[in-house]
Amino acid sequence: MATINLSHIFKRYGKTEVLHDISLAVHESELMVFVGPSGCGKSTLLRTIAGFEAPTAGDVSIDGRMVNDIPPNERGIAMVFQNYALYPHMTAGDNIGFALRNLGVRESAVRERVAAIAEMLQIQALLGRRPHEMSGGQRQRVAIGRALVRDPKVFLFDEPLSNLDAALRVQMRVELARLHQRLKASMVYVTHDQTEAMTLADRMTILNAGRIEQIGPPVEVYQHPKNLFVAGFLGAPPMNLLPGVVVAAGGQEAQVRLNNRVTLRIHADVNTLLAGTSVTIGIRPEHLQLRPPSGDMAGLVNVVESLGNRTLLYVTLQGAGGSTNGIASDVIVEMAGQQADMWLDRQVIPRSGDIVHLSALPQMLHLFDGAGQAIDAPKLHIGQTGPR
Amino acid sequence: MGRRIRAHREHYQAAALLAPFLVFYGTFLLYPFCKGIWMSLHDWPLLGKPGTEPVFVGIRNYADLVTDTVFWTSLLHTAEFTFMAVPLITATGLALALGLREARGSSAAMRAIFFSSGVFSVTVVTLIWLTVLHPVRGLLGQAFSAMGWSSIDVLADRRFAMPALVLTTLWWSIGLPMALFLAGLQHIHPALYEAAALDHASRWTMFRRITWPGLRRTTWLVIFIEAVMHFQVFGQALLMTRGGPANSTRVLVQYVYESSFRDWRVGYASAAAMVLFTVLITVSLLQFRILRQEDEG
Repeated sequence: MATINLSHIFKRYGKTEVLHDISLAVHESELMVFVGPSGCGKSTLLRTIAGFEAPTAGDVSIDGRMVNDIPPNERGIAMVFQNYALYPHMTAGDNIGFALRNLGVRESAVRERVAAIAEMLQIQALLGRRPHEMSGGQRQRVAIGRALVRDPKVFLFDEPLSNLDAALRVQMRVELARLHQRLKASMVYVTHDQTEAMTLADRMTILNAGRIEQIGPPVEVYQHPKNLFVAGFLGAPPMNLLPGVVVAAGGQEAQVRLNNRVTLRIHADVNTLLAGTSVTIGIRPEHLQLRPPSGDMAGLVNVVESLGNRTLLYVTLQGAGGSTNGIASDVIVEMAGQQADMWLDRQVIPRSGDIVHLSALPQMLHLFDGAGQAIDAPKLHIGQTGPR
Repeated sequence: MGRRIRAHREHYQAAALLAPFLVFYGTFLLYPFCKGIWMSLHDWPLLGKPGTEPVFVGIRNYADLVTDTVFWTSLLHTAEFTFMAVPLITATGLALALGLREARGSSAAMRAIFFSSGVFSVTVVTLIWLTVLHPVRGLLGQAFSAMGWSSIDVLADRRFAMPALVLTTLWWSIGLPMALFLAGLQHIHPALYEAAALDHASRWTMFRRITWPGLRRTTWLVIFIEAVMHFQVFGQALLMTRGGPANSTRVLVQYVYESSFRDWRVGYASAAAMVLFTVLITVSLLQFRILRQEDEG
């Protein structure tokens, strides 16, 4: 078990900067997930830890030892690659035992160790097969076996599930979580899939354009996104982000006019908000509720998506007079569990073309300033005053 | 009904697209080949007085080949040339491809340079090498005299003439095998080498366990292409040594050429050409078989 410390890592290819001042620590026995959109630098960062990429500036330490100039095989790491990178001309058993044989370990000991790993991963029957004779999930297990065999201090996973189909991905995700609990090893896991990130991570690092946007436990990051990027990136369907301008502020209340001229009242400790400043209101779809006509906001239902356990409504917010001046402010409403049941019982699931009234769960709102940074505003509450 | 009409139309379209090739193939390959077989069964003069007709002789031309020592010698020299050239060119092509694998800066330029020699005609290539190997004025002669050694006429020496032809051929034709190996290397995923680096594999182990198995199919392909190509060696021998010294570099195609156009025995030359064809088709069939096994394996 080991810790990893990254200190002010920069990586440039010519004039292109792919990593910008990355500093973070992976604690002992922690599963850290690097998540972000394609091209955000997460794989480059992982490869920098592995030693396949040298940082342009900054230090990489594993277990307190600076490893910048130490080759990958001496860093005490093992890696599972996106395409598994199994040696195509070797059997699964030879793939797993390859490192031990290269180290000159006795043949009988190699066999013993390979057999133990195979038993642990339930791949005994595959040991004699070559990669092209195995399914994606089987290859994945062999690749994990190859990583396990050397008893590394740190495991690195580079999008290991992205080549699997949806059902297998869920299954392997659970297996990886179990493996982590069992091994208690430090792991760094790269993915662009937020579900993988949310479910596997002890802590997650959200990267965007080579920079760290936020680090923290999944639930904390989900509930308290530090900026607009994180707010919009995490969550499916994504958070409703309603840009607008503060038109009046004072005391416990501010009025925010959205781009479509619908004006919302924000009740909060918003002394920092000044009239004229740009803000974005963030509301997660599951935090919007259908209300009888007295609701805080009204909107026109465009599309209804029923997903069985939940229903998504795509709603265009409207002012009291129904006017939106041609500029739409769309929100997604997620009705799940009790809420959906309640409406189903009454057989009043809204249909496309209906006008619905919405209210947002208090204290579940997010407010972001003009620069996209979260404004800490406790007791955030919202209401509508109509178009101006 | 509509479907049948559409199927018919697709057939016509396919036939129309194939037609130019089939006409070309029939006129310039199939017809001459069949004519060659036919000629090989005749005493067929290249030129004759008006009214001289080819005489059907059955397999006599083939029977004569069996007892013709010059034919056997040229077949042997062709085999000798092929067995020297193919392994050398294959190994050199592989080595160059491994060395120039990274398409960066100087490597890209070197690739272009090595490939460019292939665009010259055999006349130009042999002229360059005749100049290089000239015992007095050539690079070799100059180098020898600078060392204070007495120069040797490589092309007039039985020991060195054939290796000199092989060397010329290597210089001329190294581009294709190098390109094939470079293409083969692209199919080996770079992550395999990273995985192997983590697995403590040495460079030699990586070559032996990843690169070489990954290039097996390409290697067979190169060997067969080169074998077929170099079994038909002709220009180098004709232009550099004229088959000498003392017939030591006389090759099969040259023998066919001379039987036909110097000795005017076209039927006999056709029979020799059929022997060459048999060798080449055997090699090609072997190629299909081995490559299919590789694909299945």
